[in-house]
Amino acid sequence: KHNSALPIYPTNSIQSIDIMAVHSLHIFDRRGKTLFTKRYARGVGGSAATKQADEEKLSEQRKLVFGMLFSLREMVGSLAPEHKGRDPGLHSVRTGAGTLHNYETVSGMRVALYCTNDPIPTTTPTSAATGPSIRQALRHIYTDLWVDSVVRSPLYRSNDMDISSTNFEPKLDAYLNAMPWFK
Amino acid sequence: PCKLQTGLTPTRANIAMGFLHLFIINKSGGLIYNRPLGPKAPQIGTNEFLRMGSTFHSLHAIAAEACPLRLPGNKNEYGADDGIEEIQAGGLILKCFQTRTGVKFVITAEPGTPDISYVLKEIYVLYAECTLKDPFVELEMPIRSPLFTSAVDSLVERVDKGSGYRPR
Repeated sequence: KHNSALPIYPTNSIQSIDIMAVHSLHIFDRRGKTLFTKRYARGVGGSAATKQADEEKLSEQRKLVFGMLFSLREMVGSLAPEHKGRDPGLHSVRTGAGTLHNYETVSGMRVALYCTNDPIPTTTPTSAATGPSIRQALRHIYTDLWVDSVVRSPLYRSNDMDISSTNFEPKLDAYLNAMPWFK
Repeated sequence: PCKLQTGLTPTRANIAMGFLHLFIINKSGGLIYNRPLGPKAPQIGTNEFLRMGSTFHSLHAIAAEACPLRLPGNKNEYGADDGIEEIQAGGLILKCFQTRTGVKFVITAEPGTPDISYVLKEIYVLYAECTLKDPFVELEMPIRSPLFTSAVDSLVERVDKGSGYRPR
């Protein structure tokens, strides 16, 4: 079925909008604070004044995302049957418009990725040509990129950290651009 | 990961897959029907189910709101409001089908269970046949219909056994 979702990120007028498979990436800590966020979809630019309002709106939206991930995890935990060794976490949430992929660490950090609903591998790669699945990619983003660039940085502070002082973002961009499903 | 018994090759009978629960939630968020569909369904108290029904109802709408992408008019292809369609988790797949009138059919199953969407649509048909046409069943109230329950049970049994009846 054809996905006709349009990004309704804060826009004032409809201009040509490109839809990429990956829309945005957020990283939350265990308390819900946004550690990192990046939007990959191209959208309409706004003036400086609207950008301020946009920032607040985006921050509210992120709180919604975190709250939703948190509550869904509780719900899924009680609905799933007992099975030792099974990963109790939430993998993905799909709505008609897009899919939210989620990777959680034991420490409570969450890497959340919004994509469109195109048929791309989610948990296991279908072939070498399709690249790693999204879940594997999120895992790689945490264990290899985040831990290496941020946690091991000499400027690391556990409460308030300036991510731009590390090279996490360029590494993340390079990694995601290499994914065949990134478009 | 499949649950294998030692000494047996994986056949349909012993690979962990099966339906777990069915919930039907009315348009106000109240749970009007719930039924365990298989032996592996976890035992949950009635109050817990009611709470989960309302929680899911709210989260269904929040998911559409939190998503940066939107469908035109926030309506999906069936004319119903957009919301959670599927949740994949470690030990669970949850699928939800919302009708235009706001009734949500939610089914949970173990990963690897085939035909979950088909069963969900069939349950909607059974709902229309057994529940809506029953003059004693009130809309939006908890469903007490032995006909509906036995129809759901036999549907799940038929699909689980893989009788081959699977229209595409």
